[in-house]
Formats: sequence, structure tokens, C-alpha cells
Amino acid sequence: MKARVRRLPIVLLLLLALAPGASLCAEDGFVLLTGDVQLKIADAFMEEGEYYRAVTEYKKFLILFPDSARADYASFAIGLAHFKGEEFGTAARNFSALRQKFPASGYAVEAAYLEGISQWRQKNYDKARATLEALADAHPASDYAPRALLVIGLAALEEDKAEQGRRVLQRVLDRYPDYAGRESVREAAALIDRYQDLPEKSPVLAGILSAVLPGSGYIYAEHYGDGITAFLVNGLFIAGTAAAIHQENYAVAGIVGGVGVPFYLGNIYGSANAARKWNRRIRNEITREIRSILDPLL
Amino acid sequence: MMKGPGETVRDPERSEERETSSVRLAMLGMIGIYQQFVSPIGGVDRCGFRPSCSNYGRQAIRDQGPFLGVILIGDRQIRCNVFERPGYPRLPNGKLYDPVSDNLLFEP
Repeated sequence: MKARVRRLPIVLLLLLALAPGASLCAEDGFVLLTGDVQLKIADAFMEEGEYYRAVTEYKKFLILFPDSARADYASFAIGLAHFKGEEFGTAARNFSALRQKFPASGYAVEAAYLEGISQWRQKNYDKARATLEALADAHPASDYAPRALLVIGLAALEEDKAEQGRRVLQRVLDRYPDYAGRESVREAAALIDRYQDLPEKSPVLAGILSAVLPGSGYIYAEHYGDGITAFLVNGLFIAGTAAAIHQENYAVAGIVGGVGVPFYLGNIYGSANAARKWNRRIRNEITREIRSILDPLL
Repeated sequence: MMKGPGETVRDPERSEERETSSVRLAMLGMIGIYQQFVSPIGGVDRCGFRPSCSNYGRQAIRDQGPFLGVILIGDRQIRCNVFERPGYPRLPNGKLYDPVSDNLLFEP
């Protein structure tokens, strides 16, 4: 009987520990901070979009429970919070640290993918390509492998390397015949083929044209208003300088010519720039179209 | 975006270092005089771009040096005209966004 009475508090404690919600709030109002409680707090902040607070709570978890089996989850969630908060540099560093610390973790592949995306979003194309290529090679059967290749393709397009982007999309089509997004990839590949045949305006030709006849380079680049203005402004300065020289009024010629030089040089520079912008605009339009096709697959 | 103190990002276009080149100082001074005394006359905001032509010139000379800066100003003066200007993003105040960084032929 005495032994049974002595065991009673232990049994009660066990029951209390096993009762649902016992870890969150005990009967007399105190909170028992377990790993699960700490993660629940962090997850709640994450769900609410309070990423900075979520990071703090996940870090608290790692400090309080460094040997927990869910330490990899907390590390991954820290990276994810930074990623969702669009702090891509910190996100990439956190995902990289997670992969080094927990190479066998179930989150390692997703972390590699998100690390690559973060680097891509930072326009750190070489690093993104290296990370995502390594992922696609190391885990070809993973869901993330074709997605990683698609990101490499988009990065190549952003770098104006259409041929490389096309090759990567072809790799997706060849390597994953049963891929769900195959039709979209094929559509994007067809658009890249069009991208490679896009018409171009030569910035050099635009500059030369404007040097010979001010404003003509702008018109070549389809900036008609700027072309007319450049022609009139430069025409006035050139005519003024020529008239002053003709009247042997060299001081006035120097002043008028001196003021006119920046407009003349600006007209050459601006024409070349207008042609470059024209090319960029045409490419951006098609890149946006390709991205809108591939984005749902990422 | 992260809610809370995030990374501090330094905007190169906002860096205000002490200017030492005399040519740049003279040019920036002239733009300053224009902005202080000429531009406010009539109280009308005539420039259709943002940054305005004078601020654009200030930035161009400060960041790109006097030579390229003057060329960039010449180009902007030509483009700041009464004709239709397609291809620029329009800001909520109706002005067209055209920073110096969008007009560098040789991007760093």
C-alpha cells in the first residue's frame, strides 16, 4: 500500500505530461517550455508573416535545444523566413550553413534549391548556376531537379545567353519525359527560339548616324520625338557657330560651339543608348513571357 | 519584406562623399545656382522626368565624372522635349522615371 502511495505522484506526473496540451499550459497557469512549444511559437509567427520574429524564435529553439532532432527544421525555417522576407543574401547563407551542418537532413535538397533561387534573385548567376547544377546532378530523381534546371534556364536568359537557356530547357525535356510541366517547358523553348531570331538595332550604327546627321540615330532607334529635337537643337548650334565663323566673329563662334558640343556628343551617345534600350525592351518583353510560362513550375 | 531590422543596404546613388575635383565642384556649383535661383522662377515644375534634369545632371557629374557627365546631360536635355516619350516607367505623380543608371552605355 505504502509503495502504491509513493508511486502515485509519479503516475500523476506521467498523466499530466501525456495529456494533450499539457506541454503548452499547465493547470496552475505556468508554461512548460518544451522544444515543441518553442517551435509552435516560431511557426505561428512564420504563418503570420512576422518573419523577423519567427527567426528570433527559431534561433531561441536552437539555443535552448541544440541537440534536438528538429534542429535541422529550425535551421531550415530560419533560411525560409529570410527567403520569404526577401533577404536573399542572408537566406542563401542560412541554407548553405544548414546543408553543411545537416547534409543528411530531409530539408537538405529543398535548402539547396532555395539557396540557388536566392542567389538567382540576387542576380548572382554564377553561384546560382553552380548550386542548382550540383542539385540537379546529385538528386536527379528529386522533384527539385527539373525545377533547378528551369531556374538555370531563366538565369541564362536574364544574362542574355539564350542559346544556353535553350539547351537547359532541352535537358529538362530529354531527361524528364514524364514531367508534369512538359508542355509549358516546350512552349518556353519555342519562345527562346523566337528570342534568338529577334531583330536588333545596332548601337554603333545609331551613334554613327547621329554623328553624320544629328537626330537620325534616335529616329533609327524609333525615338522620333528625340530625333526631331536633336536635329533642331544641334542644327541651331551648328548654324550659329558657322554664321559666327563666317562673320569672323570667332569669340562668339567659340562660345556657341562650346555650348553646342555637349548636345552634339549627347546626341551621339543618346542615340546609341536608345538603340541599346530598344534591344533590351524587345528582349525583356519575351523574357517576361517565358517567365510567366515557367514561373508556375518553380 | 522582413518586419524588423533587416540588412542595411547602402545605396550608391545616395552616397555623399566630399567632392575634391575642382572641375566637378565648378559644375556642381553651377547646377546648384540654377536650382537655387533660376529653377524656382514661375513656381512651375517644368521637367517631365524624375530625377529632374538638374538633379540628373548633378548625379551624372558626381558619379560619372565631368566628361561623361556633360554628355549625359546633353542627351537628357535633348530627350526632355514636348513630344511623346515612350518606354519610360511612369511614376504615380505622372513623371517619367529615368535615372542615370538606366542610361549608362557601358554598365559597370
